[in-house]
Amino acid sequence: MHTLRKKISATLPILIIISCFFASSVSAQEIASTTPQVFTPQDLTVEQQLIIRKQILDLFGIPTDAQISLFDTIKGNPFGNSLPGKLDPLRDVEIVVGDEALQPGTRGSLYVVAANTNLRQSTITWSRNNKIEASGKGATVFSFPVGAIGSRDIIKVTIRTPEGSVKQLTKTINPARIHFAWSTDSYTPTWYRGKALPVPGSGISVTAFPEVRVNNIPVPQANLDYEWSVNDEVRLREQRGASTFSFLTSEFQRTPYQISVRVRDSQRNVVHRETILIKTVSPFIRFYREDALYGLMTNASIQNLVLKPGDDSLIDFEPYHMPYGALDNMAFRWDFGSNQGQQTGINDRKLRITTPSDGLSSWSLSISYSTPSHVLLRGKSDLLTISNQSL
Amino acid sequence: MSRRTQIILGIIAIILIIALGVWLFLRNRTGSTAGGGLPFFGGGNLPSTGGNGGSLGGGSTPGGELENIPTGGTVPVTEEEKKRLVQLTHEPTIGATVSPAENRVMYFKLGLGHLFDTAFDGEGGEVNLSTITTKNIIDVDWSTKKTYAFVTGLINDSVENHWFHITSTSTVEHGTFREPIVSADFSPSAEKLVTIVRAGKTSTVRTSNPDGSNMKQLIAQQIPDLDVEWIRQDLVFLKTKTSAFAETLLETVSIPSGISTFVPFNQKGVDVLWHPDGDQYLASVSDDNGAFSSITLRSRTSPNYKPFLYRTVPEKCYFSKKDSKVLYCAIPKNFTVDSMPDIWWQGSIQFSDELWKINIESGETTILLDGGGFDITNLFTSPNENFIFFINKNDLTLWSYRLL
Repeated sequence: MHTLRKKISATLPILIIISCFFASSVSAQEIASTTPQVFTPQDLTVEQQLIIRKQILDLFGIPTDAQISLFDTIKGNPFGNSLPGKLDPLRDVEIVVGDEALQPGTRGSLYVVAANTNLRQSTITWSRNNKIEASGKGATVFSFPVGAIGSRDIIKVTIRTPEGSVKQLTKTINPARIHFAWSTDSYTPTWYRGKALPVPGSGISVTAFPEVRVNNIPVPQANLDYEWSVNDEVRLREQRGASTFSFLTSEFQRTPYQISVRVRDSQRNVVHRETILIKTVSPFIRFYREDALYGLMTNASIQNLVLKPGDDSLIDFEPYHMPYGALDNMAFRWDFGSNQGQQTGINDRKLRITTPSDGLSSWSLSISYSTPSHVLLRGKSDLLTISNQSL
Repeated sequence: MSRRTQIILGIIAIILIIALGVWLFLRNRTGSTAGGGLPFFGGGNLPSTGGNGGSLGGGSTPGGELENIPTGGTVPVTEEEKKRLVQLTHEPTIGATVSPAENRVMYFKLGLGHLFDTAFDGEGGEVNLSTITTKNIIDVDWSTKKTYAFVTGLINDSVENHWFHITSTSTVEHGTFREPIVSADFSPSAEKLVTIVRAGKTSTVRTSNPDGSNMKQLIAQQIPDLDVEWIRQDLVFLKTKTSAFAETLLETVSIPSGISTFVPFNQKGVDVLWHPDGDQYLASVSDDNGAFSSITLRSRTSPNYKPFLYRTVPEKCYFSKKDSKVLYCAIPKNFTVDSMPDIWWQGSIQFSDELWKINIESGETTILLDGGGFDITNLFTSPNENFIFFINKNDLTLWSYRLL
């Protein structure tokens, strides 16, 4: 820990810059203020303090369960606030949930954090349901088995500073769980059994199904408050019954989207947050043969097709994962030998191929797609090779 | 150490290195079925090794026997396999099952969508049971007594759902559902149907008679892409559509209360095959990059699970109706992990399968069909399990393979 402290001390200026950056970033999202330059830790919620702590620790590769508080990480006065008062050095101590979600049946962690108190020198005692389970100097982290949904654990932490100040905090753990279902407005063939996936520019709709019990009585989903974030930016402030959240992905970014929801019951007995990661994919086109007798042969997409001279074949091209909103005006330009053409919209996806009489033995068919409404949604299919059987 | 001892040790080391090389070479020849691992824990034979298998010996066929490659297959069969293998249809087929009398195989043919049946070994040829035309059939479900079929056809880009009722060997009634049904399944214990209809982003799950009469709503949820399976008399299973790149939500819904219970299994690429007991299920999982990760035997009521070291997709397997410990599985010799099952469902990849019989309790395995190289789907057996049937996805033909 001594080495750790030296390491952090040496990089204090960087930490201060990072802290200010996070403070100002938080201000944009959370705090409607005309003077966002100076903040105190008291301006931040416990969750925000924890995020800052985690990001600073991540920066140095320090495990988040290291017994080091926010005070240790920033070691000083980066926010411009005053140092702790002599009378109440523990006034800003908080108890927070270590992991984003306390998953029932797993081991969870609680932390005590403080901006202005050096917890490392304090004696910290943890008890669960009135039974002491951990105690020690600087024991800022407490690990415990998370009970089932509907169970209740009362965790108490007592902090005693070297100067003799004492503070006791209590947290009641009501384990909960959130299940997610999401969908996107992308097109896939009607017969396709798989899930439609989002591409840059797609809309995504996420529904949370929380399992929350208070006093072992299930809380209806409609009676819970939901707060939705995308990549840690709050998009929908706490709202009763808002179990579904929709947003539009960026056309310009291919980064994954971390969608988080924080769920609370009206009495704040249970506060639970979980995250789901959704990645966008690239759309593509597959070719299928439409048999005159048996219909569309969806069992196998085709990369090669052999035709007798003069024979023709009906080819169906199927886009995958293209946003519905872009399809009406989507131009599909095909290129086959020396012939080119264009079809617009999703309803006309068939091409009748006849081998050209230009003396060649094989030809390639490709389809490029673009739409004026989604300028970056453009691309080209793989080549379909059509060979003349007689050669 | 004398020079002689050094030479002897050197020779032993060289022999060991050569032996290791030979072993690695043979091991790689086993294809990609988990490097010859055992299915579940416990004993078993090695997959794809062509040795020590079951009744057919599993030996590789002599090379160059092109005449022994079945139509639509990719690998020669042995003479013994050839005797047991019968191609029941020569045209694209869908929805194969055992007939109500449990003595023949029934199936629809693509194109006009007529219903046929034939003997288990194809003897005597096929019989046309119905000339009701249903074009572009994309899915068929059969009731437990096989007297009703729920048939989904494609008209332009819309689905149209039909029911067929086989009232006798020569009479088939037929009707069409009024609303498009996105997913359906029959009760395992009664002639009842569960269906999902979608309105906007809401899916409504209903139970009804097989012809859609006496419909009752079970549950409605804000999930637009749900699939349904009726896994026990009093329980249906809902699952969001599967992709290697998306977490799958699993839940069960009690009948008739409509009480939903989520299965805490938040993994990507989850596809499921249920055991007839309605408790165990075979589930595939993908990793965060969309690569096939594993297939496991799980329980709805227990957090424990058994790893399954073969690599296949659940729908290539079939739980025996006769012996609850037996699982039949088609195991691809050329399995690919990337983007599974998406690319297989898109038809962008074809597999060349072996057929195995696996005891899910003891781990004992028996190879049933080594050759053929079919891309096996729609696997099922005759009631006494002396025949196993499948549709070859390569050309959608129906095959019978005599086990006893």
